[in-house]
Amino acid sequence: MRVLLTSLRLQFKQSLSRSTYRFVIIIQPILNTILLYFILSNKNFVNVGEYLFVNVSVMNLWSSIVFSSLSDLTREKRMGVLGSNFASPVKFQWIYGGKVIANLILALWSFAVSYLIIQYVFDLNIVLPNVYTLITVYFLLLISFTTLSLFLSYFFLLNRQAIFWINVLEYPIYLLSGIATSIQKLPWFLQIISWLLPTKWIVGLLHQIFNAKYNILTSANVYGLLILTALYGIGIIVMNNIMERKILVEGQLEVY
Amino acid sequence: MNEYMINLDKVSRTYKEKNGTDFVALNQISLNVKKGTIHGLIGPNGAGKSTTMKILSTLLLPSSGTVTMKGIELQSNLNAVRQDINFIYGGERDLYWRLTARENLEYFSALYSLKGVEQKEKIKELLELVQLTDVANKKVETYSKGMKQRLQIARGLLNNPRILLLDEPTIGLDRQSAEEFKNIIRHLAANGTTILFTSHYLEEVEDLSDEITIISRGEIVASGTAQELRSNIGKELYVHAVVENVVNRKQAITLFSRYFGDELSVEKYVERTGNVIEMKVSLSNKKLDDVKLSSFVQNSKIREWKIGSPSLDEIYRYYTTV
Amino acid sequence: MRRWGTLIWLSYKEQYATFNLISFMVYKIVQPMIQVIFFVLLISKNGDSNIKSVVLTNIILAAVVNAAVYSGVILSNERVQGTLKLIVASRNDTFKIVFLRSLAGIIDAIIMVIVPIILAKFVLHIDINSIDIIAVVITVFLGMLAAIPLSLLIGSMSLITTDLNLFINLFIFVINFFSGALFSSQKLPYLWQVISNFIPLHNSIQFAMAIFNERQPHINWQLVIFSGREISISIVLIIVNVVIYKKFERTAQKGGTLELY
Repeated sequence: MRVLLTSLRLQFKQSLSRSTYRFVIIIQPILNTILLYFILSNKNFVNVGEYLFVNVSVMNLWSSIVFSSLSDLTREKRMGVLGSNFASPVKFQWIYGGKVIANLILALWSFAVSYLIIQYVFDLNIVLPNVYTLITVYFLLLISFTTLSLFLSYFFLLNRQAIFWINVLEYPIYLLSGIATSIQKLPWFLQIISWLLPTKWIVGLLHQIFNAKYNILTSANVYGLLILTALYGIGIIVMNNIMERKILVEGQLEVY
Repeated sequence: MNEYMINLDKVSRTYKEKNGTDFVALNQISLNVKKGTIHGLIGPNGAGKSTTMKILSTLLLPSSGTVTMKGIELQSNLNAVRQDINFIYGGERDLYWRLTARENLEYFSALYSLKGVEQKEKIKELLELVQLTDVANKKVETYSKGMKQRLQIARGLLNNPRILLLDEPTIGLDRQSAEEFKNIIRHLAANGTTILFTSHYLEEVEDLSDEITIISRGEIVASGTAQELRSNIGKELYVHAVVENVVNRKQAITLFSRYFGDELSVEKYVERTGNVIEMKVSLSNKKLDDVKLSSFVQNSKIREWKIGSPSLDEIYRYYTTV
Repeated sequence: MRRWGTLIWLSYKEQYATFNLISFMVYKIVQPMIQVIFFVLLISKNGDSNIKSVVLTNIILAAVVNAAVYSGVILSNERVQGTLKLIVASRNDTFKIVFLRSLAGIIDAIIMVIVPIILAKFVLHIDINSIDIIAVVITVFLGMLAAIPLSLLIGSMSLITTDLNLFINLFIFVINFFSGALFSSQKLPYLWQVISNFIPLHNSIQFAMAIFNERQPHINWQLVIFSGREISISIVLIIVNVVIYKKFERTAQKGGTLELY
C-alpha cells in the first residue's frame, strides 16, 4: 500500500511536470469541447450541454490513458527504469497501479474543465446530480478505468509498437462507446466488443445521472461497470503471470 | 554455510531468433563468487556478460542449470532474493529524469520497504556518499553524465544489498569520478557486500577484482585471481615480439618453427597489430635454449621481444581471440 | 535531383521502418477511415449536411493531417537519434534538407485520399463516379503545400523543447477546427472566420466542397482564389519558417541542446 501511495505521489509530480500531460488534462478538454460544440451546434435537443459534457469527458478519459499510463510505460521502458521496478521485491501491479491511479485522478479534472467551459463559456445549462451520485460515479470511473488501464499496460508492455496501436484505437473506442452514434446502430459483432469497454457503460451512466430522479442503483450501467472491473481485475492477474514469464523466459523487457 | 554468495552451475541461456533458430548466449557456465569479494567479469561484446548479469538481477531466467544466490535457489525464489540484491547499469538510464535525486531515491527506497526516519537517514547518507547533497533537490535531467551515474550508485545501495551487480558501472565517468566509485566499491566489499561487475576497462578490473572470470562466446574460458590467470599462461611461454614483414599466422608459425623445430611450437596465434605479433608458444622440453633463442632473434627479423608475464590485456586477448 | 530523390525516399523509409505492412496500412488507411466515419456520424446528427461532401472533405482532412504530421516529427526524430548535429554540421542548409524530405508527405497524402475514396464507395456507399479525381489531387497538393510549412514550424520547436507532442496536438486541432470540413466556418464568430482564411488547408477544403457540391460554374474562379490563397499562405509560412528555424537552431547551439533529449 505504501508503495502504491509513493508511486502515486511521485507520478503526480512527474505527470504534471510534463507539458503534454498538462495539455491533456487542461487544454484538450477545452479544445474538444469547443470542437464538439461547433460540430453539434445545430443539434436541436434540450440537453445539448449534458450531451457535450458526457462525450467530451469520456473522450478525454480515454486520451488520458493513451497519453499517460501507456505512453508512460513506454517511456519507462526507454529510460530503463522498468527493469529496476520489475526486479524490486514489490509486485509490479502495485507500482504501476499507483501510477495509473495518479494519472486518472488528474485526468478526472478534465471533467471539471469541460463542465466550466460548457456551463459558463457556452452558457449551456448542466444540472448536476446530487453529491452522493457524483462521488459514487467518480469512484466507479476511477476503479473501472484503473483496471482497464493496467490491463492494457500489461497487454502492451512488451509490444514495440504499443504507442502506435493505442493511438490507432482512439477513434474506434469513441465509436464503440456510443459517442458519435447509438451503439444499437452498429453491427452486432461491434456491439459485443463495445460491451467489453467500460467507456460504453460510462457514457450510458453519465447520460443517466443527469436525470435527477434516476436511481443509479437500478442502472444496468453500474452493474455492467462492476462486472467489467472484476473481469479486467482477473485479466490483470492472468496477464501479470503471462508477462512475468515472457520477461523472465523470453527476456523481452529491455527490447524497445 | 555456503561460502559462495553467487553460484552458477552449468547455466545456459538461449534466445529465439526471429528466423526461429536458437541463439546460445550462455553455454553451461559455472561460476562461484565468494562472500565479500569483488569479482570481475570480462569478455568482448556479445560474450554473454549482460545475459549473466540479467539472470542474476532476476530479470531473466536461465534456460537450464541452477543459479543460487546467498544460498537460495534463484529460479523459484525470485522475491526472496530481490530484497538483498541490487544492480547498477552504466550510462544514464534507470532513473526518472523529471524527478529530483531525492525523489528518485524516495521512490526506489519505497520499493525496498524503507520508511520514516530510516528512509530519510539512508537517503541522506547515500546523497553524501555520492556527493549529491547540494543538488539533491534539482531534477535529474539537469545533471551531468557523471552526476547521473553517481545517483545510480546511490540508488543501487538503497537496500544495503548483500549482493551488488554492476554492469559497466564506470562507463562515461571521468577518471576522478571512476576512482571515487572504485573506493566506494572497495569499502562495500570490505563491509561484506559481494560484488560482481563487468567492465571493458581491464586496468580497472585488475585493480578492483579479487577474482576475474573471462567469458567468450557464452563460455567461461578462464577464471581465477589475476595471478592465477597469469600463471596459467605463464606455465607455457608467452612471447611478445615485434616482427617485421610477418603478415599472417602461417608466416609467424613458420618463422618460429624454423628455428625451434620440435622444441618450441606455436600453439595459438594471439594477435597481430601492425608489425607486432603476440604469440603463445609452448616448450616441448620445458626449457628454453638461450643460445637458440638469441640466434633466432638475431637471424630473424625480430626487433624486440620479451618473454614473461602477460598483462591482463594480453591475457584477455589471449583467451578471447579466435 | 536524383540526390534529393534518394534523400526524400530514405527519410520516408526510415520514418516508417518499424512498421510492417499491416501496421502501415492501419496507420495510413484504416485509422483515418475510422476517424472519418466517427466525424461523419457526429456531423450527420445535425441532419442538414451533404453526406458525400462531408465524407470526401473529411477524407482529405484526415489524410493531410496524418501526412503533414510527418514533417513535424522529422527534426524531433533527428534530435533524438543524435543525427541532427550531423546535418547541422554539414555544408547543407538544414531547413532546406528537412523541407525537401517532408515533401514525401505530398505523395503520401494523395495516396491516402485516393484509396479511402475508393473504399468509401463500398463501405459508405458514396457515389464517386462524378468526382473529378484531378481536382481532388490538386486540392490535396495545395493543402499539403501549406500544411507542411506549418507542421515544420511546429517541428522547429523540437530544437528547444522536448514536449513536441503538445505542439503537434495543437497543430492537429487548429487544422481540424478551421478546415471547414467538420463544421461550416460560417458558424464561427466573424473574427475567427477571417482567421480561418489564413489557416492551411481551409482554402483547399472550401475548394473541394465546391467540387463535391457540384457547383461547377464557379469552379474555375474558385480554383484561382482558393489556390492563390493557399499558395500565398505556403510562401509566407516558408519565409517565417526559415527565420524561425535559424533562430531556434542558434538557440539550440548556444544552449548545447542540439542533441539533448
